[in-house]
Amino acid sequence: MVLHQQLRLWAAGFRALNRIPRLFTSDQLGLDSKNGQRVESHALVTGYNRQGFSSLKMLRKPSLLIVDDEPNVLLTLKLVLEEDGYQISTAGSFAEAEKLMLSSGHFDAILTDLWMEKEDIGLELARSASKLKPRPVIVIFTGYGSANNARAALSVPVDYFALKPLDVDELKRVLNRLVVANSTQRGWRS
Amino acid sequence: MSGWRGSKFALVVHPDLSVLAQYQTLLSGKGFTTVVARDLPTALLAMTQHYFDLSIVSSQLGEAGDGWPLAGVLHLLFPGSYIGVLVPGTDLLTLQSAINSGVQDVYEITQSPQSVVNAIIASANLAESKGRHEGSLQ
Repeated sequence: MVLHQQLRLWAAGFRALNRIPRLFTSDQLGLDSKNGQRVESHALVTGYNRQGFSSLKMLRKPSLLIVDDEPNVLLTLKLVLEEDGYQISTAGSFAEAEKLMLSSGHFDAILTDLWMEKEDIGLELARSASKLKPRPVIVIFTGYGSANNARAALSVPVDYFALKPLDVDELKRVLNRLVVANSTQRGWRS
Repeated sequence: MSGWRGSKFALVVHPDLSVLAQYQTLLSGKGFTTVVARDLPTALLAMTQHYFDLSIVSSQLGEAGDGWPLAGVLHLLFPGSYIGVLVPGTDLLTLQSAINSGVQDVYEITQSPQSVVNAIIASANLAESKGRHEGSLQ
């Protein structure tokens, strides 16, 4: 990855770490502040984060699977999106991601790099993900975008196609919208 | 798409009247009640009045690229419907806009309306046969 892309992602990660107060400390999520009793993990969570889930009553944290063969990118995206209230799983390869997808049940969204062990293998993962029921939101990001792989992504179909360097704020906004929309409606792409 | 409605609606948004007329004739022949619009305000008004099973939108209404937001709104409003966008070329940024606006496919403006409509109907039927969407276009 080009150095400035990496630096930009790291900067976003540090910003996310240093933002105070963190919205979801264990106290805020796990304990009822009035009587100190533990709230069930599937408790109704409102005011989900500052940007998106505030008006939405969700029964659990949305779960994401992030797939990239570059550990730095994986860690940074994990930090940034965790801070936004998502429950994150990560995988460093197509094989690991597919195993997770099939074994760990439901993901609300799958974000994958396009080029990992092989060129455009992220499309394979997107195709597998698109067959899941319920279908997760599928996001592909790449530094090697071309008309060919974008055409293939359109035919999967992929919900969002981002070019690196990633605009993290834009990614967060879009992901929020897509996850909420996907949980409330299933249409052509289901 | 709801099965109780007797008629299927199509929306075509394009600045050229002759193109609109061609699509209207072709889609009417396929059983669609077709609403046409030359600009964004007219298209938005139509969207408040009907559920559209199929939409064909030019990516360039007034200025280059101003059809994409309309396609995005159509996708949000009618998530089970088919949206095709007419584009000047299929480069990376155009295809990225198509994916991110939630459209099903893009068609180059050099393609005849007949071939676009045939491709859309074929694509919709293929999706239906695979059980990928909830309703039908045909």
